[in-house]
Amino acid sequence: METIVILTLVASAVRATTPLLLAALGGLFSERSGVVNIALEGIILFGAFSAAIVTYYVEQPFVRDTPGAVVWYAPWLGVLAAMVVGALVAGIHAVVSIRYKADQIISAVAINLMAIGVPSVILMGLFGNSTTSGTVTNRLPLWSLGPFTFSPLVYLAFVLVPVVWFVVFRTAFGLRLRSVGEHPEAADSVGISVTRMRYAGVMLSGVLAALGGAYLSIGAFNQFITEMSGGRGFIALAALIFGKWHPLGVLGATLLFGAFQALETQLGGTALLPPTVVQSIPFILTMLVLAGFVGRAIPPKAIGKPFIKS
Amino acid sequence: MRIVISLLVAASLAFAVAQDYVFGITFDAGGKFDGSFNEGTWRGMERAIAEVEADFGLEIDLLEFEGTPDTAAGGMRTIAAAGAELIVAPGFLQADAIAAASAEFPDTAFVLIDDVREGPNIRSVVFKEQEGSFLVGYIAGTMSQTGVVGFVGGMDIPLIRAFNLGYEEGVLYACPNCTVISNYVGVTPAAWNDPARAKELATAQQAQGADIIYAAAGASGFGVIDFVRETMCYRPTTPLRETPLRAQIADIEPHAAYAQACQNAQPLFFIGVDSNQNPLGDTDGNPETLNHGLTSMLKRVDVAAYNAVYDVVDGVFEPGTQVLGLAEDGVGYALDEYNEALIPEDLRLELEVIRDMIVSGQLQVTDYRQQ
Repeated sequence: METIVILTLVASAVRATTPLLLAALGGLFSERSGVVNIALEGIILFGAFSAAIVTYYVEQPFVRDTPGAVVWYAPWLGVLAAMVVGALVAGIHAVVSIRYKADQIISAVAINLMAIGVPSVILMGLFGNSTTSGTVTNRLPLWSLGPFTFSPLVYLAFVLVPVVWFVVFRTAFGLRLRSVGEHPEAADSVGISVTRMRYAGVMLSGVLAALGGAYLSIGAFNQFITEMSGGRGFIALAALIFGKWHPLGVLGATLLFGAFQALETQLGGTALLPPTVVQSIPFILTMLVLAGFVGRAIPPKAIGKPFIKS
Repeated sequence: MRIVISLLVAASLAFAVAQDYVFGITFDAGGKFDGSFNEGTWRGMERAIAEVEADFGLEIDLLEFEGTPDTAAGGMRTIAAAGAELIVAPGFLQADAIAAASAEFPDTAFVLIDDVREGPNIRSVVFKEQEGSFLVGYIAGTMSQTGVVGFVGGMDIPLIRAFNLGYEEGVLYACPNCTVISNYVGVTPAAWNDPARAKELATAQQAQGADIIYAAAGASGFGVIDFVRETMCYRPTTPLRETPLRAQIADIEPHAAYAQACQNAQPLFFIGVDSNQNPLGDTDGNPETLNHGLTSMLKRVDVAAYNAVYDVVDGVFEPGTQVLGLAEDGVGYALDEYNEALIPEDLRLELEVIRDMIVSGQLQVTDYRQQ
């Protein structure tokens, strides 16, 4: 019995970490390039929405005839759609904040608000109500690893940590990305296109955050529900800061937050760990880090500043 | 976009005079198709409207507004301004919106479900959720083979605590040694829309031995149902209680996926809420095979909405507060083709007796809100 509880706890922590990790790694690309991206929350929602809708309509012709029909590629097309939509939505943020040099916070807030409204309007047209999509039959499969079974996106999230580390710290692309986030003038003077690097950073963040959303709608569940992101994009942002804009730090931070969430899930209902306290831990820790109590979080130097080529 | 739609609706109504009545319904959180509370209210209105239209040859428009607690008042005003005679608002989150809008439109009748507000044109309908929850708790306590049952609430508020406490009392009445594990999805309205978290809670409860889980969590409840449908069964790690469930399952043919994955295992069940969610426990589209919905706690919001429509059409709408419990058939447990094979005759008779005892006051179910 005890081992079951512990295994459940670990599995629950890993599942809770997954969307946070995907979104935070996405945020890392954007912020390392010098663009603040608090639109992660909204992009998660857009990702969750497109994944569910595309999966639903791809499988519909088959499921309508035979309920429960297996259409193995349907959820993968859903994932692909989420990535494309994530890139496009992040692209809006990129155009507004890079091309038109608008305030990056405001642009991102607008995306977060759109992520509540736009899916509702489309759902109304497709399903006659503004909060839930139809349920998908073919959600992402479950892959086993030892005593655990997880959605492929769970494995992907953790595999991406070393990949992102390698890309950011060991490739020319990563060096350029970091240089435009630290000192765009210098990067520009050696011929790096600041604009192009920032577009790449922001759109990559959209792709990854949307994967987090796809996990929520067709990985962990079988339909889209409005605002199902439940603040995970903001927790991811907190993890990014807490993890000091480093992939390993981000992994540690999201695992910590995920573990707290799993603990609260297990111990919830007892007075031992009040849910409200646990839910505020990510934000309290982030504030402590920002204030310099727990190490020092030094953001990329040019973050949030539009680059004006002289 | 939504504003545009509402304006179009309002404009078209100003010109069209064909319809005899305009009724409205406003949703706050959880959405129209939440499969339970909101949907039940909406269906009750739809049913009454269809009947009235057919019987009296009337034409009735039903305007819908799906928003948030903050925008609900605006939705009510738009609908009232379109000349609505009746607006039904399911959800305590709309209480203040009703109080504000009803004062501005004295000729419109307002029905608030799940909370009480005073006003010359407000009818408040509240339910004794604890009584219905006691019944489904009794079913869970009678049937649970592990002696552990779960409760997943949506937002942690007194209303949901009332479900929780009634359920707990029912479980313990049937099985004094049983354990009830209770969890809440969250403390903000976002808790109604977070199935992923509800599913984690169900997973954790099952790991602690729960074999029956009652969800009172709006759209988050789908997470619990999804968990039960996906997991289907558990392998007992502790000795099982002898309960009537064993004999019942022995006579039910398992569905294909269950037969394949669940040899030497025992089935998991959920208990639905508000509307009859039993059909959601059917995984293969065949009610004859094993279904995972043990029962549902019915809260007849549909009846409240249905009656309101008739009262307005008949011109007998009275404001004030209605409290609907077992005595008024306002709450109850669901028994249909999906779970009739699961609930034995003896248990149905016991439930009948308990119902009568509660109605007569012989058996007291605690109302969390009155403590």
